[in-house]
Amino acid sequence: MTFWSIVAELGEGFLVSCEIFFITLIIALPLGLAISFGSMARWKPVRAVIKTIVWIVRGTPLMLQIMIIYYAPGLLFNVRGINNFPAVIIAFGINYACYFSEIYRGGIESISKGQYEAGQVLGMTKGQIFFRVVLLQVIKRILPPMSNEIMTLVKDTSLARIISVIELLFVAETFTLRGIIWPLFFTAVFYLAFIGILTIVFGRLEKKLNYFKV
Amino acid sequence: MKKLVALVCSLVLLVSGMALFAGCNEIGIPDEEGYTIKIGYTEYEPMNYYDDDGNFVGFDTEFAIKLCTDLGYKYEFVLLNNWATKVVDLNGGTIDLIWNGMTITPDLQESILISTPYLTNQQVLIAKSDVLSQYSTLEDLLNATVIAVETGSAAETLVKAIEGMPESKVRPVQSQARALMEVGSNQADVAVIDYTMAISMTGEGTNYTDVGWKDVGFEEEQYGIGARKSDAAFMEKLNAKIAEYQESGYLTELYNKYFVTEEEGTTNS
Repeated sequence: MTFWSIVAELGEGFLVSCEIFFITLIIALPLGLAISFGSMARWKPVRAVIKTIVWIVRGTPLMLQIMIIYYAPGLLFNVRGINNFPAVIIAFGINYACYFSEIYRGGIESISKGQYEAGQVLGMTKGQIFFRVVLLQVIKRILPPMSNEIMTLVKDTSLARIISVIELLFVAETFTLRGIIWPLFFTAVFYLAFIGILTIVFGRLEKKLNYFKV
Repeated sequence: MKKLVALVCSLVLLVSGMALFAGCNEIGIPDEEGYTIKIGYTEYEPMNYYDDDGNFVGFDTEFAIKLCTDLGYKYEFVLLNNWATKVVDLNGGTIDLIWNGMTITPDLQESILISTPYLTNQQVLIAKSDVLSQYSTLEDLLNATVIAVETGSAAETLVKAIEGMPESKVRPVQSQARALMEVGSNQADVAVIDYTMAISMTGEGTNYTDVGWKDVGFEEEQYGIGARKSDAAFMEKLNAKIAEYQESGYLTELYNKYFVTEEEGTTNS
């Protein structure tokens, strides 16, 4: 096997990693916002339920959550459970939404009351105040912690291999079976490149939001 | 001042770095007695596992302990977190031997040194008991939707070699135990695992009472012990011992202990 044919195979695995990454973000970013609203709800039972869910999800390893979603239905109810790729997406989506929700909550609660009051004075509705006045300020403030979490997601995609989703690290590990060891370490190049791009993107975003001084 | 701090820091780094290297011994099994041989294994019945009383037993466990002791070495069992990276562990010095019901394959023979075969094995099919009758030949595997196999195992190679087998049907999982779990949780219709494992982990009296196994005609294969290519001298001693045990009937004794089910008194192999 030549160097490039192995890199090409690793690239295929990397595409799967990217799929997990982007689909998870598409699910978790809005879901996280919804959960953050739940955790700030005025009605106590809602708050209690959401906080319990967040506690469970943040309190157990993501790897375990993946295995539970994948194996539990079949083992407990003797039915054919969720396929491996959707199972990974569900686990990642819920897990990251919970982490995001706390970041959103921190951001939303940090916005001063004066912003809401100003909106009220201008006769805006609650929804208008949130989406037109508050949200953009929140996004600016949570960008650094969010970028942290999103970079962690890039590397967490490697957990999907435990239920045989053939992502980058899985492909690399199969090479080691044939005695070809270097691809395992070469995977770092893919992760580093991806994180490098993300770093640039987030840096630009932060700059763009810079005009927005509060 | 800053320069002084930097100088001291780099000195500390240098010294600790050298200490680290000095702490590393050369990788390899020395010819002297008393060396502790690190034996890499994954836990699975009946090769290396814990019995109901928590004792570490199994065919390979007993075999390895006897052989190391007879050669005058100490031993230590090192649990591999992943069977797939066993060669990395071996060459990296985390372990000295791979001794865990390892099927001898041409690929492996190229990258590591393998002992003479000490046990004959066969790949068998496992499935939920109520559907087991649907499978009797290799071609019947084509009717399954998902077939779980241990990644990098002989089973994976054999299943993929079945004529007309689409790769999308073959699901490579981390271990044989996982393949069994795939069947147990209905995530896979069938799995292909070692006969030696199937007989002790499926059916009555096991955790998988509703799973059964069947010989669907896979070719027989051989188990061997893996070592680094640089440990050829040790491998010679090891092979001599295997020959001795085969002669003395010790290996047959072990086989009867771990593979012959008490109720039936015979096996299908």
